[in-house]
Amino acid sequence: VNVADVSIITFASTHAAMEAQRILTDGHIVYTVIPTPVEVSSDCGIALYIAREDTGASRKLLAGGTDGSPVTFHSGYLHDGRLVVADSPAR
Amino acid sequence: MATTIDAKGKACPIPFMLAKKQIDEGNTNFIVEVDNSPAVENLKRLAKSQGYLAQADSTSGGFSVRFTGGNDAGRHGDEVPISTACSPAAGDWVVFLGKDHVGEGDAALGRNLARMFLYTLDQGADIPSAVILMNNGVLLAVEDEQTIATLTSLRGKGSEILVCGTCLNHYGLTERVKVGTVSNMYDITQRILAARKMVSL
Repeated sequence: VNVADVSIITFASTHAAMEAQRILTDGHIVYTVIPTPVEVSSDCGIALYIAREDTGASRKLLAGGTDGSPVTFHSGYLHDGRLVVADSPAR
Repeated sequence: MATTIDAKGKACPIPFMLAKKQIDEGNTNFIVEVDNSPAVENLKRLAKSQGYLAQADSTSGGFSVRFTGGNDAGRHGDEVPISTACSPAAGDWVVFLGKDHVGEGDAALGRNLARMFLYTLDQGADIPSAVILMNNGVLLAVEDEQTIATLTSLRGKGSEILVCGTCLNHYGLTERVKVGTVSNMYDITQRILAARKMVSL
């Protein structure tokens, strides 16, 4: 069984999600675009997931980068490639 | 003598249920008459799941499907639930992507929607038999790392990724395709016509 920890990032708008993609790309953070998981409450249908070890750097990059709307990080993991959302927000 | 059940003109899943009733009653030799080929395929799936042999023949009014055999020793495969009896067989469908985005409007949003569609497809249990990429839909197999990874994963689960060779040539991308089989209109048309369902975005 292959398990990898990830962080799931949700946004307040599609514009914020796409601006975040630009910022993360410029910051050399690899992300995957996903539909916002049903377990996560969000106003925006676009979410991203990143490797857990990139969470700190991504927080810094996104702190002042998007339109000021909240960016939320959630914990999750990939179980044989299938995304599982954990309950608590990622720290 | 074989029992004959006239299920012509009856909508799915009625023919399926009538055949299942015979099976449940232990009938090992019966014929179901139907008037459309999807019903024939559904009955064949039922027969296979129940360890029966199904012989389909054309008749003047449609088709007859003869069920013979049927015992636990010959049983193989999972039972077909009635809820899916009217659905195309799993994997017996194709996805057609004629552009590198979903819908019209904001191009960046459209590309994200294409990424999310393929991601969701890959996460699901019902994998298409083929994903067909045409016109600038071929870019999804050439330049987008996420869709290349997703298409690669789908291929690993049994989907064929068919990339239009004419389109690759037109855009000067033939040497840059990262995933899939370079294909042609003959093969692609045949795959579309053979599929029981095509999803086009």
